[in-house]
Amino acid sequence: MRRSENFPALPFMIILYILVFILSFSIGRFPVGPVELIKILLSRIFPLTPDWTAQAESVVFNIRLPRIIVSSLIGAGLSLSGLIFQIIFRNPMVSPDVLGTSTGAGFGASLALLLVLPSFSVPLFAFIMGIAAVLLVWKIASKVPSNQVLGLILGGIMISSLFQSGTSFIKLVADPEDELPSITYFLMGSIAGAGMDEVKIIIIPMIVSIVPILLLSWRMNLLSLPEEEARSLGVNTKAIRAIAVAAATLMTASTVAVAGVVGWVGLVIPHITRMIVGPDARKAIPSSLFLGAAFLTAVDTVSRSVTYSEIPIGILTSFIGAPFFLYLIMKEGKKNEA
Amino acid sequence: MKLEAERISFSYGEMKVLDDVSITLPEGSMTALLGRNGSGKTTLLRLLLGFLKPKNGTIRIDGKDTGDMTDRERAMAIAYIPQSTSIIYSYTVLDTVIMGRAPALSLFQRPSEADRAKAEETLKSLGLWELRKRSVNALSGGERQLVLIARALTQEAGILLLDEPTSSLDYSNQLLVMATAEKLRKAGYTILFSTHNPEQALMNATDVVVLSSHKLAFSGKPEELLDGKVLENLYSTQLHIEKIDTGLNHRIVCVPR
Repeated sequence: MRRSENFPALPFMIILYILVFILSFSIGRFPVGPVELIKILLSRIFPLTPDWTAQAESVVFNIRLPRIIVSSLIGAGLSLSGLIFQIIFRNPMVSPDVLGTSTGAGFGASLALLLVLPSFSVPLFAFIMGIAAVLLVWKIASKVPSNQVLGLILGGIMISSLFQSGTSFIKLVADPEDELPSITYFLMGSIAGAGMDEVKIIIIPMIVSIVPILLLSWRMNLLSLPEEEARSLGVNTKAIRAIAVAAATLMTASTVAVAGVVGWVGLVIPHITRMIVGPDARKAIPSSLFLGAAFLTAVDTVSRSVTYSEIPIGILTSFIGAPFFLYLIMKEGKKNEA
Repeated sequence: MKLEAERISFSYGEMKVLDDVSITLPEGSMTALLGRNGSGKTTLLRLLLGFLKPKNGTIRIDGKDTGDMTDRERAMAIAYIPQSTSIIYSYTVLDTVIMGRAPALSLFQRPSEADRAKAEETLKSLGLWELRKRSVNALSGGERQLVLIARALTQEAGILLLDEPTSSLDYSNQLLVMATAEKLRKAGYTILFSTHNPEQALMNATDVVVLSSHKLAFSGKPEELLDGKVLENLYSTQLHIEKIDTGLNHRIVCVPR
């Protein structure tokens, strides 16, 4: 895909998202036609006489709407946090999974489930462990100043594997009757059965993270410059980087708290976004939100409609993401050769 | 703008990197900073830019202590042109040059039409207009150096610090970058550039500062170096320096003996 200056990329992404949104509502074991769907949705705002069944209304509002909101927010959150990490670490190969944020958050959430703590502590623990993972990886990479790309990726693999072992240990000691199933189910990366409770868990952290990042979007560009260049331009790199890491980790942790570890979205979507709109964060940030939301909603629609028993969404995103990552590595290798 | 460093010292832990160094860059001057690897040149630049704080001494811009300035205030007075830049993502030349407006904008502010116009004007003045839509990563070393100079000019700072501006350039680009710097000096900018090329110091600079073993070894006019003593000491090599008058201008040749 080639970007051109006049291509209205953001409106394109928004329209794409709206299409996926409507399509996702209509598809499923209980099909609802697009016209019927729009009428049902509008009936909450305008007084329309129902010519649809109560069952259709219930499917739309109680099952599909929360699920689409959750999948949209997860997609948007993961892709924006991936984009943020790629900018502030000046490295297009990082993402919440590569940096160990997701596994860290998964470990934190499992720990909260093991200890049977009150439900709000699941996202809280996810956030704390997610941020611990990023900071550790960051520290490790700073010890390899000659090759930060390698340092971040290897550090991420190491920290991920540590947290992964921690999670395995938690599973080992968890009560097989009670906590183990809930932890295992949780970690599979599924949003089957997501309802308004899940929407409530995820929506506030998302808003709290997205708003400052949107406001800072032009300045985010400056963080992709070498540290001293950014500072010579009067940019308070420490403060902005801290805000950005906190926002990206909060988004990742809240998606993990709702849906477990959904991999690859945070790596793939920011790349595709940059290919379409270019690297300017003023365009890339809002575009990545809509593209991520459209992508995950589409994947979730597939995951709940192709087979009789649902495929956990994390499996599908890996199927798409892993080959794409391979493609990136090969492309990068060619570029360095040239 | 005038930049003064008065008796500044700096050390990393126990290791002294700069010891009691004083320099003055008068307004409209172009000072060459010479010194061997590890002599403290980079540290001096980083101190002047405010990346490091001196252990002793003060740095003043037009008489104002830079220690009392915010990062933004300092960035509006001093611009930094690095040796080379590694821009990971393919920003366009225009987007890169607009980044020079950052110190003039508050945290949440985005560049306005006026900021864009300023960047465009700078690109035109340096003859880079044709490149504005190109990706910075696709430029040659010389073009990239000029883009970094354009960004610094868009910053509207009176003092320009260039870190070995020609070290990775081919000969024609070296001449182009030095000629551009000279033009800017004549327009009133105060310039400091570090270099490993003594000929550049003798030919292009109005003033020369030499650092040796973390101390100031020389500070004065290029003509004072023509006897070769300072440079021979600096590079531990016998040198032959000759001034050639061509009638129109003069050239200086500096070769090992």
